[in-house]
Amino acid sequence: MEATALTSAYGASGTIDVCRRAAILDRTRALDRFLAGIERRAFRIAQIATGDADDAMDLVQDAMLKLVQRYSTRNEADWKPLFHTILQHRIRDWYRRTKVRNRWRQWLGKGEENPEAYDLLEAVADTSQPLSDRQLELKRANLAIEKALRTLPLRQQQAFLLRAWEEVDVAETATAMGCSQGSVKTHYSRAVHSLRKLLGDHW
Amino acid sequence: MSTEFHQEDEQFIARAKQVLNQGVAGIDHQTVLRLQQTRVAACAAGPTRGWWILWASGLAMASVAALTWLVWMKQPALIETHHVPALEDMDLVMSAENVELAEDLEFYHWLADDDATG
Repeated sequence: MEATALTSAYGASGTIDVCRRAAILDRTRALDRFLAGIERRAFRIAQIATGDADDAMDLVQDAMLKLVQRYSTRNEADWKPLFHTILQHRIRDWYRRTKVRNRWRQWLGKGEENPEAYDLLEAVADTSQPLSDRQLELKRANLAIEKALRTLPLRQQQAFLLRAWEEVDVAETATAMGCSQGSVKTHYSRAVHSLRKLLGDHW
Repeated sequence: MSTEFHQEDEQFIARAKQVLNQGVAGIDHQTVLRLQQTRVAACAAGPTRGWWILWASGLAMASVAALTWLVWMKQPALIETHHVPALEDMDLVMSAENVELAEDLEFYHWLADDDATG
């Protein structure tokens, strides 16, 4: 009798443990899928913002870690806006730090770090294979839009990439950028008009 | 400036999206590998304890520390009020007169009763 009771108790706790582990495993898989789907675009957003591949990688790494550590228990639908909010915060922090560093460098007479020094050609993958005319044209267009985006103020750049590329809605973009929805609309509209002006009608 | 978009703007946005997607496809293999490693490391890290648990732990520790400090600060005052007068009384207790008083305690009781009865 006692043995049966013990066995059933062990069985129940064992089942709970297995269920809990399965749930954790499912969530980890879902997170992995989500991050795999967003990581490259996130990297490009950070790279366009910072102009540096290593800095961009650090920012994406921070955003991924924070999402997993703090918000992985939230609904899956919340992950995308949360991830973008974290990433945009990190990008703004990076800008502030760079600004302060540049002020110090100017004060010390070392001159400002030139963000434009980043060679856009480095961003082009060396496929070592001849490219078709179509591919070449897309590559040129990609370099042109990246260069144009980097001339925009950060807020316009963020608004454009989140709204146009990531297709994040106005409310979530406002949360990610830490501003009002009206500001998002204004920044986005200005960004589109500036980019069209910069890239021309034949782009 | 109007925030409404015209057809040309919409076409431009669609084209920009296509070009940016193409840029993602062109990310070099090394960067893709680094991103994968970063993702695997992040997923392996797992969730940390909630911020409220850390706050609660900190608050509990601060309360214990404050309580300990209060008890420690109060202790010398207690010693002062209770023990120092006792030490002062020690001379009276130890004096020869008081020993005699203690020995003749029955006599003093009798004297007190006698006074009371009149």
